[in-house]
Amino acid sequence: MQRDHLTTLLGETGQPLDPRIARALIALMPRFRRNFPGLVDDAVVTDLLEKAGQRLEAREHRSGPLVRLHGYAWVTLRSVALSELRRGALRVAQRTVESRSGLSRLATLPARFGRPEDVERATLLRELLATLSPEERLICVWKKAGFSSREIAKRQGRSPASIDTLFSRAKAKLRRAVSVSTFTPSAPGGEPSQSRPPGRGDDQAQGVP
Amino acid sequence: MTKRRASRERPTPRSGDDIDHVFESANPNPQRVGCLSAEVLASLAERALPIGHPAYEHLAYCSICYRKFRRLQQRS
Repeated sequence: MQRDHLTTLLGETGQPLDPRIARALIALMPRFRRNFPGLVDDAVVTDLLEKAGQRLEAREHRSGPLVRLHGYAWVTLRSVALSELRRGALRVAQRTVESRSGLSRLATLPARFGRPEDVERATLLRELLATLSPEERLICVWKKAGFSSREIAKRQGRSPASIDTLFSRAKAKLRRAVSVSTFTPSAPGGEPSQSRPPGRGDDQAQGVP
Repeated sequence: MTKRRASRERPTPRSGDDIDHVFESANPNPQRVGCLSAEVLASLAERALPIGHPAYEHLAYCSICYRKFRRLQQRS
């Protein structure tokens, strides 16, 4: 809360509050912040200050200038703040996680996606897939699509046996890639683990998509 | 023997092997460059397109389309 609130705090009639009262209220801000850390919205705090100021002005209007203005101002401000806190609108504000504390809470949550090991694994897979020639890649896809070695051979102008050899070689490369990339030493529990059950993907011989 | 040869000639789609594992994740293609439409993917899954169709080549370089293609294959 800055000094410019002295001029912006308004009374009931829309006129600026008595500077003496406004100054007393502004001086209470550090104490107010300590006692009500949940009230961080400047608009809400200004509203509370104005309400407290209006009560103080009404009081002075009724029974003359307050001798112990500082103490009286604090009691009034605290009373106004407590009343506001009990209202529904501010209950939401109290339950809302502020951005700063929200970030610190988020920082303590374990990530499930995009962890460093996931990024490393994806990079490794990409590098290992790059070791396949364009033809080997295409043969893998065609095999997965259900084309036979004979159909692929006809398309590529090769013999079916050479297609089978190329496919076997590609599968062997990928098997090595997967065995390296699925080793996750930092898996939950601290034990090295496989990200998928062993045995799957151990294709027999050739032509199995 | 004939039956065995036939099964080798027309293999049925199977999921979860090393090829799937690598092709489904190694080509992220976040910009979705050249991605295939749902119709083309469905046609690929049904083997309705000829072997020389360029869409097969795209599958070799796009994990998103490859995943969709395999799901469609398994569904059909």
